[in-house]
Amino acid sequence: MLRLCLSKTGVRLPGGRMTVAVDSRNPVVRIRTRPQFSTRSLALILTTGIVSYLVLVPLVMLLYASVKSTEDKLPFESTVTTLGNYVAVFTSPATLPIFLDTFIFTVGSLALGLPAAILLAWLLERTAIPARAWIASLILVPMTIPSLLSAIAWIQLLDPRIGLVNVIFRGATRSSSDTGPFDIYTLTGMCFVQGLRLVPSAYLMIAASFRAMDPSLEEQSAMAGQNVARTTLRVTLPIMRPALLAALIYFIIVVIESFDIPGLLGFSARIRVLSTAIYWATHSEVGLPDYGLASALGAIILVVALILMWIYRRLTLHQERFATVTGKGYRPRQVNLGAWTMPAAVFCWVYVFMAVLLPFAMLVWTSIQPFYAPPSAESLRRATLEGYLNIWQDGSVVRALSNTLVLALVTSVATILLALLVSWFVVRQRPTGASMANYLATVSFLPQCVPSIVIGLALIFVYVRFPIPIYGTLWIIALAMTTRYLAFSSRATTASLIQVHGELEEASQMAGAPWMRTLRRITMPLLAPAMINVFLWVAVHAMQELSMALMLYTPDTVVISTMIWSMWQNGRTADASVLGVVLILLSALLLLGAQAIASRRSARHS
Amino acid sequence: MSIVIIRSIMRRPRGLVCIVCSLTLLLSGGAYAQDKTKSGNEAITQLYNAAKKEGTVIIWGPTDAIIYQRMQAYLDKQYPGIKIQHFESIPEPLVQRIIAESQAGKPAPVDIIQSGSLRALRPLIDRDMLATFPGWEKDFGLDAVYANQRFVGAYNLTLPIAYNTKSVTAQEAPKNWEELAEPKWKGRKIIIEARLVPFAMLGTEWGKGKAAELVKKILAQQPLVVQGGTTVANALAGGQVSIAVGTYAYTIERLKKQGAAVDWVPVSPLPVLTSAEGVLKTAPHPNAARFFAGWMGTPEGQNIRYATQGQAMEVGRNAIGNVAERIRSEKPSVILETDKTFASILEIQRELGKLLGALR
Repeated sequence: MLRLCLSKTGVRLPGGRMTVAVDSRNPVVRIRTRPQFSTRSLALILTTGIVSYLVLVPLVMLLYASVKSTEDKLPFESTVTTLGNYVAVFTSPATLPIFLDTFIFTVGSLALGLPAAILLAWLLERTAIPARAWIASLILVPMTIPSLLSAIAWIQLLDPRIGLVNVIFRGATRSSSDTGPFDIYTLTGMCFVQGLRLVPSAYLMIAASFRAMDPSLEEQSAMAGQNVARTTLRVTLPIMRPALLAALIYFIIVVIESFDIPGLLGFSARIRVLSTAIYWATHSEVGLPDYGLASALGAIILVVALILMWIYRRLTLHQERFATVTGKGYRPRQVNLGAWTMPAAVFCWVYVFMAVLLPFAMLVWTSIQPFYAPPSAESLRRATLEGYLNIWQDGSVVRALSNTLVLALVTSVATILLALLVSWFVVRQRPTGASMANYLATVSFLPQCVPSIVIGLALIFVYVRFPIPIYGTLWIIALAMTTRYLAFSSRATTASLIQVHGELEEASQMAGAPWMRTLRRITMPLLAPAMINVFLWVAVHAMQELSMALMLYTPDTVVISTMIWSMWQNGRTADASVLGVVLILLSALLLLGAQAIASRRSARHS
Repeated sequence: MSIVIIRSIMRRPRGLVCIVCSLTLLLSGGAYAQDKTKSGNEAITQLYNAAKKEGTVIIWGPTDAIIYQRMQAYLDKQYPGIKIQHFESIPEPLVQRIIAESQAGKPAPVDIIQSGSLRALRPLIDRDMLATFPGWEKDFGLDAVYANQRFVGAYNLTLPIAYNTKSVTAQEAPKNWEELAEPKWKGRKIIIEARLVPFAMLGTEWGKGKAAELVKKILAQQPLVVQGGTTVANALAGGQVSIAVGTYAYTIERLKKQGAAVDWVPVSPLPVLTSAEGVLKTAPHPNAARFFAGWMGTPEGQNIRYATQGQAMEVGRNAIGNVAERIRSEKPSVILETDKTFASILEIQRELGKLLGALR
């Protein structure tokens, strides 16, 4: 093999010096670039280092605690190493029903939530139904309703005895029964509410991919005589596979891990799932939390996540097949639904009514009641707006609001930047450095499997000893949230980046633009829809996060979610609801603002 | 298993007279401790002077922050020079944080740790992190002092059977615990708090087996099972259920005042939790902490707590308020949570938890 090194001539390509190799038996010129230390290498090292650090600290704590005897001890106090936690999990007679109910709950919630989100994303991004912009903003609002308050609102609507829907239904049908017909305290009820709550997040993850999709393949299908349904099933959805798979895998773990709905609705009827088992191991009020048992359960979710990640990688191995954003100009085609336009619009508004207006109305109702009471003529007479006036007398409310906004902003900016870098290296590095790409893809997903309370404890344990004084500040909460939300963010940005063909970036680099400028001027604008969505998602979730904030907050770093929780626990249901309404309105403003920016940007680009 | 049962040897009911007397005492400014100082109790005066020099008391616990703002006004009037700094949170994460910070050699900046029950502070006793203070008994004359003078009772939480007066009349309401297992309550008519504390406390008197049997029978009634006393009370006030177990008598009294159709039955035996305050060994303001915790335990302090918080000691020498009055008048036997009983309560709670599907 003849090797010509052109380094002496000073010929350089972005990313390193060039080596041209010619094999005499196979006269094909191969060009290899020898990487040298560059901005990109530095970014890779930094990204890998930061992600590893953020994720491995709680992960190590999880695995460590899972093999420690932690009854009446914190994990780092325990001196006994044992498999007893795993034995307790796998030998308890309660385990099988827990796993079974978790499976049903997960499948049921996803069966309702994901198709609804996909349909909404398609309708709002690719069809011309009326008032799209309004619906697109409104369907995100359920995300802004804290889960606790959302579950309570649904109890007020569908409690078999006093639920408003049941009362109205019984009145309308002149039923003599004093309960039913709907019952929220069932697996079906849990799946229904959880499914509805999944829709906004899943929509955000999927919509950007629909928006960024080159419609030429669909047009070819239409020209070949295929109708809308067949084109969608045989062309659109297969192209969307990475985004859909990313959403599916992410939300499987989200549902397994989510606590509020199973905790409030399922537990009432003694339906236990993995998340409630973890919650009760850590909040049982019998001494210190049983971190060993909770961590063993967390480790099981971790194994499930690793298996799902492996499946995802197998199914998106040849990711270039899914790239539809290329150097060729395109403009997403709007599908005309014809006679289906009105039913489609009705579907969207029904979702908005059920997931936004009903729970929000219930929350407003609770906020004007001196104590928790279902809507009735009698309780209407007790209605008062005092809560809206009194709440501001509590000096810490304003501080909590400002802390919450700072936290939401810092967390979302940090998370989005980290997610962007992770996604870039996962997608673009994979052809040359598969192991590093796989490592980043996997590690960034794992925080979703670690219970929030374990992340909180791990950060206390590490940062109380840390020389940099972030313990007791807002930054430590931001750090915990960034860790937690990296999984969603990197899933969403990776799915969108897969759709952007590398040729656009290559063209920029061939034109002499450094890597960082290419990222800033080419990649980020192309990923803007996904990045805006992720920003919104993280900001809204950071405003509501409770478990980690409860572990890490101090009098100076009180946030709205902890205030709502404390007020509710202390019986101040009206005050808690008032704050909930304020939080929802703030979040909704943020959503509408960001949507308006996105729409303006989209219009400008069109 | 050590069990402390305070049989009802309470004073005769005095109703409004007692409240009027209490308020008179409060408003007169003739502060209890001032009387004590006049009668020669120099120790409290010395403690107050030392507390004033420290100038601040830092309290961590579940009590609403706004209540401490109200208490500050009373404190400034009676004992100026001590500023209350309060951090409101549930005790469990606070206790973990105190332990973690202490083990890292950076003691948490807290003087008093308060909890809704003695059990929550057990990890701090196990690690010998709370200071003893004989003065609470000796100088302040308090009776609710526990764990070798490491805790002083702040208020009680009585756990009765509560009912919705719209769906159940006073005659129909259960008069004892066993009645909860009657068929008329089948089908989500009862709500119970998931940690089963009242039943665990009953178990300390009845034995674990009998308590477990009762829980099994109640679970067969298909009750709603929720977490948190407030959630239980809300469900009852909202009419979701007819009967509630696991909420507090003072919560029911508060809801009654607000117009909710609820009431409670002082069944016998009646479980009563003790909210405790302990001073950390590493407290930056130990004198202010000892003084404040002691003063709040006195009749004067209890009146202030009841006026600001609606809660106070509901059994014992310094008990005041509606709940205390009702317990005095109806004389149920009381199962009080103390340092002698909380270990047994925890053990029974763990066992009962398995009936609800706990893995361990």
